[in-house]
Amino acid sequence: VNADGCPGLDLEIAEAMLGLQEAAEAERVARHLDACAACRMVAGRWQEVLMQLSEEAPPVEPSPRARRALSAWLSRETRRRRLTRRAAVAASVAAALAVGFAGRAALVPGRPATPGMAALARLLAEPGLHVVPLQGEGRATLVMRPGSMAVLAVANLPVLPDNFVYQVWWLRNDRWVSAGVFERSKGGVAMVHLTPTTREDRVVWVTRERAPGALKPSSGGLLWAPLNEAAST
Amino acid sequence: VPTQDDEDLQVHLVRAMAEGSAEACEALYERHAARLLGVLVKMLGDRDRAEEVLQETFVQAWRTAARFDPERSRVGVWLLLMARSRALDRLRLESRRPPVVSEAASSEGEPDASAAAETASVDMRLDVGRALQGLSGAEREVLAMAYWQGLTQVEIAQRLGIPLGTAKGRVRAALSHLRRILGASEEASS
Repeated sequence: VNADGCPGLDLEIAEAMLGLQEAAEAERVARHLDACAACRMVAGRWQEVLMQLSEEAPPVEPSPRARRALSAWLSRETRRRRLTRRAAVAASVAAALAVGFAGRAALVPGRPATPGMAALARLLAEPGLHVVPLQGEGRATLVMRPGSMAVLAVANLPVLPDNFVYQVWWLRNDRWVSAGVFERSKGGVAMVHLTPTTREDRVVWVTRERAPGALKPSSGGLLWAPLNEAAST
Repeated sequence: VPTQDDEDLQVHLVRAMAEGSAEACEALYERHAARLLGVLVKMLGDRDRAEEVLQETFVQAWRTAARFDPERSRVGVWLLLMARSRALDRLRLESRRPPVVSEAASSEGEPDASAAAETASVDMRLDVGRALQGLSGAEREVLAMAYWQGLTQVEIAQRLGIPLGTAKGRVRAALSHLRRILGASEEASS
């Protein structure tokens, strides 16, 4: 044991790197390395030794098939990341628009006001929320707590003809119940505060309706998602 | 041995990869794939499986690039440890230990002399070769079992039909000896 209380795990570190140790011992070495700078230097030297040992194996050029497989995976992965990033940007823009959106009275009068940013942030930080992505045209995510609150974040929605609005519905006990009405904002993004869901709600549907809204859906859903799983958890 | 500039460039590539640059990942693949595949072929004894693990290694590198710490290892070492760890997982999953393939067999696929020249200096290879020659036959044997086949000390003892304590002692002696020889050659060259 040195002056810093380090037992000097030189060979134990090498054994851990080689995978020779049982899990508990390897874990003990890993924890020690996190805390001991001197042993991290020792680990660095052992890494170099392992690197040199690997030089015993002659290099083998990957086949064209292996190269193509990695390129194809990277291509899919970068596309997925781009879409995820775009959705995140859309959601943050939607959140940023939420206050102004309410201020411009874009929601049909009588609807619950869209919460301010601070209130929204508090809401989203609360435990027990369900997050339900919707399928269909554009992007939409429903954030809700059954029986308590529901907020719909939408982006990239199609432009509506004049005098048309979007209307959100819950399918409750085999009947469509209006959850709220909203207009497409500039840029197609919005954060819409809906009437709360209940445990009986099975589907969320977004339709295009003539302003100021309809008593029942008059056309097929532009966006939809099942709620039974989320609502029953 | 990579120069500091070269290492800086590679660290830069890892950071670019963490930011989502596929080109950076492909550049690292060009740089390291042949050396890693050589190691994997030798460990797994099968080129197809080795190529699968190579792909898994770069997928893992892509996903964990943001956590790479240049203070703790060089890029080449980071990739090697990841590749080796995945190969060991594969061996353990399949619960079989293929014999270590001979250099002649592993180089039947397309050995790449230029990549070899890029990834390691001749001096370093001589050091390792000299160090391994300095070990006893028994020490070389346990080290090869641990490094290339990923056997645990218990498995080494079983394979060699010796008590566990003897196997542990032999591994430690081999590591100590190796360290001493390589340490001495490092000091001599500096």
